[in-house]
Amino acid sequence: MARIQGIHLLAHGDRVEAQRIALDIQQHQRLLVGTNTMYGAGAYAWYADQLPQNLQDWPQVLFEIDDDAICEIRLRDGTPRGFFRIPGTIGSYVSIHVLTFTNVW
Amino acid sequence: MDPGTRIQLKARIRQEVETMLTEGDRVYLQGLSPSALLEAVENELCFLGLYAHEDHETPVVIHRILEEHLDAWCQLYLWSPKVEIDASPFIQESQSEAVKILFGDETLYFDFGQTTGPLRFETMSAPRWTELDPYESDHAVS
Repeated sequence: MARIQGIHLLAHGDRVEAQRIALDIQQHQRLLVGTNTMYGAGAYAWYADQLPQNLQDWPQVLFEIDDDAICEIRLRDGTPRGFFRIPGTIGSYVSIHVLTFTNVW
Repeated sequence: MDPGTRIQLKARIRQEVETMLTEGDRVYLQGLSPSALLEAVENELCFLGLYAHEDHETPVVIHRILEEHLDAWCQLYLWSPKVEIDASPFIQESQSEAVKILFGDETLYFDFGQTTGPLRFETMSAPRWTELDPYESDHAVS
């Protein structure tokens, strides 16, 4: 088992909403599993070194998680898409270890 | 948004939607309501960073494009039956030096629509590859 670093984008870039969400994430070390995703229920995050350039100024949280707690999203030919899913039930939370927030405050 | 930018955006959306619908969990996706699927696609496009967070125009255009085309794209990529090539006795997917597959101007079709009588064979003109490329023409699906 290894620890990996992920980046979860907050509130689709809405900084005011991101600040509210960040407080909850910081306090409880968790991410909310949202609705209506394409690759199954879970909290989605980019691998820290795979975040696209055009997303780097979005409000985000950098965190750590065990690699056995995630599902990497890959194409059928095995090509990684650069992000992963932390499986969970819609409306519930998944645990993470927060490292830092960026572009939030 | 100028027409050229809109065409580029539509092509990118279509590319991403094709990936989502073909690589995603088909049973899960087919179980989503149309509105839930639309929202899921929008969430994914946002996640992929198709627009900057201060850009309020592009999400509106994306929503319009999806409202206009998502049903057709779903028919094309999500609901159309997939040919199980590996299980088919009639088709060899992998090419080898020993077996050559010729792509000619005519293709032989088996008519499975009939329920009685001998199996009927038909030929018809095969489309050119350029006609099959969904990204070549903006009018491929409209």
